[in-house]
Amino acid sequence: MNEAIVTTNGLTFSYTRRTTPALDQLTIAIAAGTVTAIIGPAGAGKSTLCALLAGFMPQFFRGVVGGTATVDGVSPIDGSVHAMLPHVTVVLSQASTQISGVCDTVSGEVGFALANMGVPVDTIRTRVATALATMEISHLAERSPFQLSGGQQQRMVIAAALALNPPVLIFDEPTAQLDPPTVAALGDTMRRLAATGKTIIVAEQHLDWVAAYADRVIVLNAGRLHADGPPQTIIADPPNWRSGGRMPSDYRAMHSSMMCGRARP
Amino acid sequence: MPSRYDLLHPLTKLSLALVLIVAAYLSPSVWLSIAICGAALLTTAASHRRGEIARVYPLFFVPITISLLLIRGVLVPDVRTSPIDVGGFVLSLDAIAGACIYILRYCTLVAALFTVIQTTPTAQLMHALAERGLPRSIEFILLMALQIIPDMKLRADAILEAQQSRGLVIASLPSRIRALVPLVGPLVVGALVDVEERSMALELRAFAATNRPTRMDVLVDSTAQRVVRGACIGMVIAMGAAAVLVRYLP
Repeated sequence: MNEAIVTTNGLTFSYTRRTTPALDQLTIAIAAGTVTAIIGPAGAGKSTLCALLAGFMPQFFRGVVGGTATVDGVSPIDGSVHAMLPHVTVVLSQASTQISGVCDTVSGEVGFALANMGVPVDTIRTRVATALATMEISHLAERSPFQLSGGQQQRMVIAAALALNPPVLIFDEPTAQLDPPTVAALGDTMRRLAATGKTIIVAEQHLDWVAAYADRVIVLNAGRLHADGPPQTIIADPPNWRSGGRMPSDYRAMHSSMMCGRARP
Repeated sequence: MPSRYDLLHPLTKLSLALVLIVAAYLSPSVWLSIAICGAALLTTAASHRRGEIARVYPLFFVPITISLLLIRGVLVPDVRTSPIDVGGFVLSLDAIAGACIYILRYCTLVAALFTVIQTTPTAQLMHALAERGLPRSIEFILLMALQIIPDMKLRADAILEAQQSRGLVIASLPSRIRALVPLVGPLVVGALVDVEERSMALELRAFAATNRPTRMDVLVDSTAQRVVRGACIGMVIAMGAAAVLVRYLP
């Protein structure tokens, strides 16, 4: 088992003007070089956890943070999003909303964050070329980001995250806008990245995708840790889904389909 | 192949556009307004993208021309000078001349700015403005606006296709106007919903970083261009001062 690179201890977060906490006494440790899926119903706290680990709370999303969290040895609570970028970054669900609009080419878009961080030009060019090659979109380098398909835009956005070269990459519902072949390709990419030592955290709704690509599943419900383990164990163990009727019925339906579903490649 | 106009420093293009816009706004006569508008159109002609830019102009110019002619004709119907009856509306040559000045101001504004925007890569424009001290917060707002425009177009197309699949017929002008009602609501609400994710994305691109950003493009400038920009600023100040003097001196 690799050393934990992401840890939370009694982590609690309450958004301003909300009575119930979005995260409630969450204690987890995620090992480096793994793909960890975070699942749970809408409002379970998946996106809040992703945003908090990336440094969005409490500066960007106002609220009260309790407990501690570390990512690559740094607390995201004490810093800002850009200060956390060398350690962790997030790929949001909609690729189209993540295009800056200021760059006329895909390569410019992929290097935009590095340029904002003041990284030297030669380093930017090298990292952009590597990220584009990793995502297999080098041939699109000079195209306009707005002329790409949804799947290509998603690859470009992931390449932009890879160019930052953080050890931890978080994906917040990355399959929401993608067609099945692109979803499968995305899973393969994540496995490849994990094999190179990157730690991948994915907030995801699709259990079949989770079962196929994740090493570990963390189930959140109402901001609390509900279950934690390998995907086969989590999905196959009915108590994880029959939690006093608190899990929505669509998850139970997904579970049923999973039980006769596909195996991990 | 970029033209010489396209390769000008973004601030030189903006300065030229500013002179034309201010001159059009202050112009007292139709003939001078026509000359100024012609100069703005010349900048379009000097661009290598003149064809695609010119194709967009009728979409701007035709509706504003028709509506301003009618509005000025109805609201300022100076019937003492050669009244003309247009389907019940009484226009006059003076009213038409007045409307023409407004139309030409609008056309000059659109032609001058649209040509600058279409011939200048956004990154270069931002780079040039940031070099002159444009605050990062203003750059952020401009970026958000630039992000939303192409996405809103795609979203509008998707909404219209969805409405058409539910039986909305878009054929004639009245049907197009009716189609605006179910389009505007989802379009505006959807864009507002996306704003949070867009600002998160810019944060994730280190846009809020306080260090000096690396500029990937090199802006080409020259002494001649700096002189032109200085002259343009001087002309704007002189035109403004002249307008104030003419207005307030007895």
